[in-house]
Amino acid sequence: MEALLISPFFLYAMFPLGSALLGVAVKHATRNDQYAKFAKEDLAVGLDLMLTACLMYVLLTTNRAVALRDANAAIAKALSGNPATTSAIAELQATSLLLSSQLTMSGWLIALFFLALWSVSTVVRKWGWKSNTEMKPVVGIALPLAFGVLCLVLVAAGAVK
Amino acid sequence: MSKHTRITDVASVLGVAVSTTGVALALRELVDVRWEILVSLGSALFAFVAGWQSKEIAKQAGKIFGRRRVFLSYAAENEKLARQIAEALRGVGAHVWLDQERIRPGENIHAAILRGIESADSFVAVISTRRSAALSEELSLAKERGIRLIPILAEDADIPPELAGIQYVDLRHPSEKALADVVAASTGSPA
Repeated sequence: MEALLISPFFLYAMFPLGSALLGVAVKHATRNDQYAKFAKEDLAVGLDLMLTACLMYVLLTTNRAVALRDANAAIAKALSGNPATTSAIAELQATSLLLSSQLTMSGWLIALFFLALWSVSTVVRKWGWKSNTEMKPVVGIALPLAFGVLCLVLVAAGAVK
Repeated sequence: MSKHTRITDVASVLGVAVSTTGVALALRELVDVRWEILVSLGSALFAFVAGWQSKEIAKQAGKIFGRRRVFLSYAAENEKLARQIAEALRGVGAHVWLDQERIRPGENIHAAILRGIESADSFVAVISTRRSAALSEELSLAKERGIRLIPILAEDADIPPELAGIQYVDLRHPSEKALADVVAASTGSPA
């Protein structure tokens, strides 16, 4: 089970595509008008996936911030120990450095997510509709869906690195 | 086009380009094994193709998972019979379009009927001497979309020319069997 969960196939294919499929199923199941047929607009879950990815990444960043705080506290504690355990301190410092650099990157990535959300939703609003009720398949559905999947892949990659 | 709209258009396209580049670079940073990148790109490509072919996917999914949708056309005088037929159809799980239930005050009637017919798998037309004014138009819309037409003879009346050559169900004397025949013809379930 754990081998599957950390495998690239699960992280970069099953997880994002499964999320998209689940999003479509939930969107269809919660529709008020059950008479209307399953329409291509039901597959327009790309922006929802992007928003989910953005929020997941914010939560991941929060976790890292907490881990960094704990690592720094552990370093301080180890330094104040008598005698100070240098190997443990070195390890904690390496962890602290890694978390620090990840947090620096996280800020940029979260800004990127928001930029992506705004720009893709604007593009869909302006050029993604054929009529009031019908979406264009490429600009309205395919492009946001591919973007949403990529954002989820990014979050999955960020979570395991 | 206003200046604000132009700025928004340009900004949104630039935003998509920048964020795509940013996501690609971030992925390249995080995912440094070649075949992991291939799997990621494969997922995105799969999603893109699925979106591009969404109309066909929706059509097939509707056939596999959807319940039968029946559009019921009738004159006001046949409302009681129409409701009986609707109840029988709903009893086997079909979705039924009835104008009294579907068209809300203020809604465009023609647009609502068009939407109802477009989603329908079967079109049931209740034929009587007092014919619905919209029946001819509804029948031609249904025929254009290749929807299965099921005429129901409620009274001694002539079958409209649009339904000539199609076997009708005789409900001049409604019976359980006749209703079951309507349900079977509309939904494909056994009578």
